[in-house]
Amino acid sequence: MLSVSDPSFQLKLNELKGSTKDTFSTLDEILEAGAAINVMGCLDAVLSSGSYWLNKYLGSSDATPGSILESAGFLRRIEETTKYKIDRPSLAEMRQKTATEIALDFLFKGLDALANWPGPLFKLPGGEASIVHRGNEYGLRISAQLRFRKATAATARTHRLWTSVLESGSRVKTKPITG
Amino acid sequence: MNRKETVFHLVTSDGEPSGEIGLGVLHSTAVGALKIRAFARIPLASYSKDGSEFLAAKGACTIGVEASRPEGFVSGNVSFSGITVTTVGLAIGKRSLLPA
Repeated sequence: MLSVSDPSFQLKLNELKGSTKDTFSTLDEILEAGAAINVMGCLDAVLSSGSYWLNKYLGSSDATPGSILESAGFLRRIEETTKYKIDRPSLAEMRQKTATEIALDFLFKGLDALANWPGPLFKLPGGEASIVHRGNEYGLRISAQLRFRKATAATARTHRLWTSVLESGSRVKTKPITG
Repeated sequence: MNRKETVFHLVTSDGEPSGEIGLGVLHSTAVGALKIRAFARIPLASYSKDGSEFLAAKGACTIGVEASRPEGFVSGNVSFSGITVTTVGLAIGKRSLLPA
């Protein structure tokens, strides 16, 4: 659920020296910051020091934060290295989209990357958890073997409560973005 | 007593007679010298000398990430200690992402 007015974002370069403008709130501002400051260069400087994190595998999948950000069009891997840089042409194309559309694109491309991995996201006792994609729906599939003791009235109530929570929260229905 | 630090926080306006109270989540991780802090805040209520108001359905949430390192970063002629990206105007309620 989101607000009626479209959400936006704010990017701030903390304790900036050498330029007066340190806060940016639109993609246009970042791409066209002018000669005073090259925001893309600043972002590349931060990315180059975060290569280890960008290449860390998520759970048991082969997806990494870098590969998800690359599939969402934010980053591009520098050829024959494990380093990433900002994908400027892709970001320039995102100018046509609203902040909500960009955020949803990112969410669903991330889910897509995890759903396309044939192995489990992580293992559970006697089972596993994985993201599944069917049509325009994504979901979380969980399987496990758990041994329950004979329920008392109180534990039965708790079990019913958790079952209803899991059933209501296990499916994420999606609608493709158009226009 | 469990003294392990929690990622959950109660967020208030620092020493102000009016402001907001919210529920916050802060997770910090370090990659070498790079420190990454991911945070989120959901507003619960506003308060002032005239009373308080429940905000959870209309107040703006904040989701953000901050990356910094002690020696800072240099790009061209500028230097900075880190970067913070936060959402602005992301409120709970009113419009569903799901098709009707």
